[in-house]
Amino acid sequence: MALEAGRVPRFERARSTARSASPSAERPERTRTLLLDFALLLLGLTVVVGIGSLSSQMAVSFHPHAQLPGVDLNPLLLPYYAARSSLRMFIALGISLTIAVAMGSLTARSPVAERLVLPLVDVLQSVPVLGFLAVIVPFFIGLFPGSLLGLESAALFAIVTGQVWNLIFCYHQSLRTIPAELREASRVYGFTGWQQMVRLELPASAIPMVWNAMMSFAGGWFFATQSEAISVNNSNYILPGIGSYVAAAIAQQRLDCVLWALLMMLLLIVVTDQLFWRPIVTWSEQFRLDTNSAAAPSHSWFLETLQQSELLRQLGQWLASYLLPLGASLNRWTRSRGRDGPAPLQKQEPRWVDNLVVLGGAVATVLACHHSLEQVGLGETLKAFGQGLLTFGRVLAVVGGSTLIFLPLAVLIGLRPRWAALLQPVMLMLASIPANLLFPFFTVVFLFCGMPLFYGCVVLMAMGAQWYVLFNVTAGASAIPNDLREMSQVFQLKGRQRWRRFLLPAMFSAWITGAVTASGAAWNASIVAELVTWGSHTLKTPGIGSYIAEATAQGDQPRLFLGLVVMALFVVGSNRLVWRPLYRFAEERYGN
Amino acid sequence: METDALLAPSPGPSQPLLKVRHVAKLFRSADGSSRVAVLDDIDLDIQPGEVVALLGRSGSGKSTLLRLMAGLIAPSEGLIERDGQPLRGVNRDVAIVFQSFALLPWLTVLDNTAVGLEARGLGEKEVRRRALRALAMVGLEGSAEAYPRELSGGMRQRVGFARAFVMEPALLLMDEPFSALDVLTAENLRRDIDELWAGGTFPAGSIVIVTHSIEEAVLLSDRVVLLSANPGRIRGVVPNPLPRPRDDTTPAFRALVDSLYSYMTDPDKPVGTSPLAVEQTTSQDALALPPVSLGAVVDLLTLVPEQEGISVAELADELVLELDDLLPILDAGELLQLMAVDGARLGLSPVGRALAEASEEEQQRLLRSQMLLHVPLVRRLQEALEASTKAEVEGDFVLDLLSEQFTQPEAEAMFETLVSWIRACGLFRYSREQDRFRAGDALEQQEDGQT
Repeated sequence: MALEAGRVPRFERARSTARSASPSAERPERTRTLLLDFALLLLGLTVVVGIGSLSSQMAVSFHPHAQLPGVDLNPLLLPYYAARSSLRMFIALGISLTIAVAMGSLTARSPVAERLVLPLVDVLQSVPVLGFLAVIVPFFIGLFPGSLLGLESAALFAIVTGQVWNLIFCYHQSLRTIPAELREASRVYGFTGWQQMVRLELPASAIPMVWNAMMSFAGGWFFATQSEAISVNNSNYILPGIGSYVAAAIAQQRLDCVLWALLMMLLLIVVTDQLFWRPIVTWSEQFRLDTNSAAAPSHSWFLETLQQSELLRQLGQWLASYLLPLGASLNRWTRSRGRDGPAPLQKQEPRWVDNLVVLGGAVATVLACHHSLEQVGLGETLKAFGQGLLTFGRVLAVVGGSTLIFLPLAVLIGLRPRWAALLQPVMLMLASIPANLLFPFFTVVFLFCGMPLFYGCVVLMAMGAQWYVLFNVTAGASAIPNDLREMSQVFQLKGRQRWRRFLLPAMFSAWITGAVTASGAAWNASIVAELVTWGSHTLKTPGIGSYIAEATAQGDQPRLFLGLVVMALFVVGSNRLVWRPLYRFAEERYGN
Repeated sequence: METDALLAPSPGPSQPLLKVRHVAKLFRSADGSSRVAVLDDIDLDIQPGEVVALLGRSGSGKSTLLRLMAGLIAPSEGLIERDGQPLRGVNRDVAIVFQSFALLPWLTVLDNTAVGLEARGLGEKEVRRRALRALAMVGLEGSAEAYPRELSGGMRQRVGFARAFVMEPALLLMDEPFSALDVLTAENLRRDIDELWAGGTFPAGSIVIVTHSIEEAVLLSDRVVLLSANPGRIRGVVPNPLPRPRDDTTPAFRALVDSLYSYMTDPDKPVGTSPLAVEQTTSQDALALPPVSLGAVVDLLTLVPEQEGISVAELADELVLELDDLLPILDAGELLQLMAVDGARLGLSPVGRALAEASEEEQQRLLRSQMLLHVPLVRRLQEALEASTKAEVEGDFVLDLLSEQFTQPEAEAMFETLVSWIRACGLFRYSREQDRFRAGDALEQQEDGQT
């Protein structure tokens, strides 16, 4: 007794997603597929062998005080160095994602964990990563005596700490915004723990996580290259990679080598974007929760190529046949025994945890102040604060300057959808270029025309930070609704009025996002921008960044600690006192 | 009609599927100081083989009651029993069809249908077989490989049904399953369910359907449970003995619809011989504002014929309004004492009649005076404005008043309604940026005129 089939409107047939092969063009089609499969097989084998050999290189023997082989500046070795750096980046990405999913799940399920972990993550993401290297490097070397893995781990740690906090917030947020009815459905239909994760939570968070990972990856190149050549406790450590190549080029004053490295970096970014990120972003579109389609649907030629491959299809089916029983077992293990389905997301807010966090923070701050006062004295502490103020001023200058310069450009691009769709990936790639690869060019210019680093380092810091302003403001401009745009044209809004009444309010919250990200990048960049070298020349300018850099190089623990605390206080302080209120203002006033 | 008997377990060998005994559900009020009862003293049994409709307007807690039955939330007081055992955690014998379909967008129709079976650990072939059979039942076997975004709303809800059917639950719960569909699709789907049920091989034991549409309740149910609002209590149960498949053109059908309308529009009318007849308007309702605009109320006034008034059912039909949309307008009209509902007929008060014929300016004047005279929240605001030296009152003051008695979303909604009402007739002014109420110019003119 079926529901009468005739009642169902038949006009909405499912569209088949598979490509149908036209029977007439069979033979050329088959050769093409064969060639494709062959190429992919070759590519796959190369990648696998490459990863294997590179990984083995990560664990070669290493002795801290032995004479290290210098980095060979032969440009033909650049692909090898690029591969080493990339391997580190991808391993770090995997680690960051795993941690983010684990922590995000924890904080979304347990209100206590949420109130403890999230404020901690908030503070941790304000602490400059590079400042920690002085502590991290000896620790990891001690962990892996006699092997290069120690240094590699330290580098991985640095990259991960640059990426993971953002990803934790992102995952946590996307779990909380899963529609209530989907959650209820998963409980009523008895989803096992495994099903909850794989069918509901991971897919629902796929799109924001992919975008966030892409942005974090872009920012990660900076930490990767920077941690490949570090000077800690009066020792120099070198990991083979593009960063150390550039460091060696700087030491030997070979500007041409820096140029080659820059070109290699650009190539690396483009290849990573085309072969990795574009396919993943396109593939993740299927997880869109709301039925309105994306503003600009993305395409990836590589993904389409992969989808046409017969070999990969067979491989996929073979894998699936092995993974299905595994999935069934996981279902069995994570099925709730007895009474309840998966635990419901709690809504109560235990206030005692809040008080504990505030108390803990206060105690930590007092202890830190006491410790540093004891170790370095009041004068030094005040000096550090003063330098912090200097750097703060520079950060503001960076944000303000990039806003002034890029705002009109962003509006120009953002209001034209086709340009925006074309140029946004380009902007992201520009943001991926680690600023420290660009520094040598500027350093040479500064040395040549005698410009003091006091002003020059603002430009250096801007190199890493300005793209975030451009990227976000362009996104904000392209998100202006069509009817508002048309209104401004019909009513002929021009000049000051157009900016004041229409453009600025509409893009305000996008600008804040860009400004916050840019200021974070600027703070991180200050550590390497306020103290630059070229061969035997050293340029230095007072600021908390150079303070930290010097303390790291000299192994001066108390000063290093003081410097890190001061910078962290400035970042957290400006977050709470400047950026958060601005966000709230934007929400209330402009309703974004 | 002995409605008491319909509340208690029916005499017979079969035990009720679900017993709800003295269940209350309390939520924290917006300011956290007290508890707001969403449901109070609910006693209900669901027998095997019946369709029960939970009928009430928004705020009557019917969706909450459904979720209590499903075990998604736990009662604050009272007990829910399943097959004689107290219910702990999610109810295993239950499947839900949701208002917004709740399909996973990244799974095909077949995979969506099969999720519940997969969770039970059945083998792949068996899962596929059963899922396809359920899809055939709803007429979608050809769309098994489609993704939800490729389907229309009606087809998506059919998948929702298939997902529930494939579990063969003892109790099928439906939470306003047709509200998100257009009128034609909803009609078709309702009839399909009715025919399937009448056919005798429905893949679920009993059905509980939450609805705010009277016609839907009469079309599908064997008995209709009427819920009052704020707090949600069972006013009574109306049996529905009409023969299946139901025909909405028969006089008996229309008579039952009319009688349900009369119950819904007159909250004090007793249902059957149930002693829970009279609703006391507690102080909880005193500050309440129905979530409608003044404009809607004024527009409605013009539709009511002068002499004989109009039946509410006719009015709903003419305006093509659901009960949930019409009743708040009537409530607002009654609050402002512009209209009165007697039995199932709506009539205008003298003020209402004057307003319907007045000019724009005169209408505003009349609205202002009615609000000051009859709306308690406006009176409180007026008193506060007079007491303040600068004739200003913070918005938080009003919100706090509301937060004492209502939950957060309710309080905020009523605040917004108040702002729209005082702006619509120019009674006071409200600045969103400063979150402040000020005396309106009109009022000052009035006062000046009187001195």
